[in-house]
Amino acid sequence: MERERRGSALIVPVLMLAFACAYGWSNRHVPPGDMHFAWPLTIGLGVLSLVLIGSVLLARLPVGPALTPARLKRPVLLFLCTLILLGFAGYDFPLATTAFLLLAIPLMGYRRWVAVIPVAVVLPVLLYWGFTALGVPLASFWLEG
Amino acid sequence: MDVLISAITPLADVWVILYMLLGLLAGVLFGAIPGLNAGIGIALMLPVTYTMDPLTSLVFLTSIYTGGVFGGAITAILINAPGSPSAVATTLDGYPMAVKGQANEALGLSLGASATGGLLGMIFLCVIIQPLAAFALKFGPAETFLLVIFALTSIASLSEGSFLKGIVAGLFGLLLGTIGFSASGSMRFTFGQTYLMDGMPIIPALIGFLALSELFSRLEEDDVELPSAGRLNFGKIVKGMLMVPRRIWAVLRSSVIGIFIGAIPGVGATVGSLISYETARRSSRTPEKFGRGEPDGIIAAESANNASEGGAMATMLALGIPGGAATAILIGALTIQGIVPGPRLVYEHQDVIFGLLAAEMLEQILLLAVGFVVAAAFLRVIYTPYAVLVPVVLAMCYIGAFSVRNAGFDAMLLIGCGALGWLMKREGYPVVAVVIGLMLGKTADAELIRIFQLYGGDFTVFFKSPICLVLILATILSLAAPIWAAYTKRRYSGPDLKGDTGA
Repeated sequence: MERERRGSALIVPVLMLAFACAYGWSNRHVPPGDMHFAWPLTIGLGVLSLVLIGSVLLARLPVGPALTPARLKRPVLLFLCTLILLGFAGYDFPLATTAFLLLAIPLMGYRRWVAVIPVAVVLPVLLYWGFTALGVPLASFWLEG
Repeated sequence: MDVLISAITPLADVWVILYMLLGLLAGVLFGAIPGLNAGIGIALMLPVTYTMDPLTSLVFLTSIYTGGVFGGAITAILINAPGSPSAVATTLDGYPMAVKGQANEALGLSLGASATGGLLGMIFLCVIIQPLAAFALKFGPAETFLLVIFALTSIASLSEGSFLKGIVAGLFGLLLGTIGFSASGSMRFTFGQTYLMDGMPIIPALIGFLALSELFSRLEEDDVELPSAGRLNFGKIVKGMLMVPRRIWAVLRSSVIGIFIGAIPGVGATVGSLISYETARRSSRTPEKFGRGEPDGIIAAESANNASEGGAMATMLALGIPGGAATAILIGALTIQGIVPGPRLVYEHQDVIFGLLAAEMLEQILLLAVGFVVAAAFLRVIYTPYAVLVPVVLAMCYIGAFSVRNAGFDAMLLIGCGALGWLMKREGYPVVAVVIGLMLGKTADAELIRIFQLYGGDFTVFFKSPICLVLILATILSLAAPIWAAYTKRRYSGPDLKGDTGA
């Protein structure tokens, strides 16, 4: 378990290190006059990320709970459900949100369909009407006009 | 006189008052629901403000802020679950009072103390904002650069958890803030994406890091069934409220603590209320009563956390430095309206600023009524299961992120920032440092480029003005404080804690 916790704790410093490397690499052609601030930050982030990785490996830093399948289940499922919103809400917000809620709410563990269906069907339409009335340009091919 | 008239005139607009009431209502609800808070509430309601005029928009969002800070106390008192972190100190005496059958009096006390503390915070804001802005106008590029650095080191060092993690989070945020066109026209880290040319879009990143990350965190563990809140009694709540004027010195002392703590970037209402509570306990003649249902405990916590809003708003409006999540999102809202917070704001948009100050005072008074209505009529909302609440809130986050530019890229960025923020939060990285770094990175970068253009890289400019020297000293102190705290902790707790892994 301890090993799994340390593994989870490495994710963020590794991501930070990767970001520092990518940032430095992509800006290698930028004139030095524009990088007075960014270069020290990039190097600082890279070095401190390495220090963090070392500290995690040497057990010198407090770490969070391990990313077990049980802990990951609901956040990952929600993340996958958001693909519906990302893919289709630009074409039809109410329909995409209805599909998202119909899938996400039961997957998150609430399966009283008597409550889920009204929430999933009515709320997106209300959100659409409310926000479009306020001038937010949400798309819908069947509610428009 | 003209300023006074221009401040009060907008309050005659029925729409401003309506949005103020709606904002307070939404804020109290967001504050009361465990897991949500004022910052998330402001983030979710941002799209509502896109088409509003700047003053109405700010009044609406600050009402959510005001309501949200109080809202946490309702559940803290009734069910021992602080709706937001700033209400943690309220649970210490609020819930014991509820257990003794005095829940209504405790609610009244917290409502009265919140409104009075908030009002005192706003009076402080009115008094301080012009002198502070006039002082900040003297800032040149070196002072502004050092102010940004101080704000970030302060946030990193005062945040919970490891100082090293705080610094990494701040550096990451600053680098995100430098993405896009530089002050002299070079493009950095855009990968040819037109969506990144103006820099990292602030609103999707803010909503992702601050709101969405919290939702992902909530889903990691199973839902907890909250205990029943019991029945409320109007007469007893009013009786509780009337206890506040009799303890006015305690309210004053706690409010002053809250205001000054709130003005320090990265500290905010939670620390302010805890320090105020501890001060009240130590200076009490009966300290043993604290933690067992002592009314002074509730007053100390609630006056301080609401008064801190005045301090935080002063730093945000006059210096352009966000002190925490809520003020960071408020700056985002101002940016959408084309207003840049900072010393010039107070002079260039006097109508907006003084209108806002007048509105904020009225908000504190209206909070008395709205807080009661929510506690009495809408309390069932706190029992909404996370399984329903989180997907619904996520759909609203999507609207907020997508509708700024109608760009799918922004929606993807929202999800990416939310997932990264969640991973960072669960490992103890202060996500708010990323957000504030992101907001201040461009300013710091531009000021440093100006310093090089004006002084040709002569760094003695940082030591020539007294303001710079004070800021350097403050930065060194903020960096040294956590190192000193760790050293003393290690010294007094012996060698066994050296390898503490937080297990």
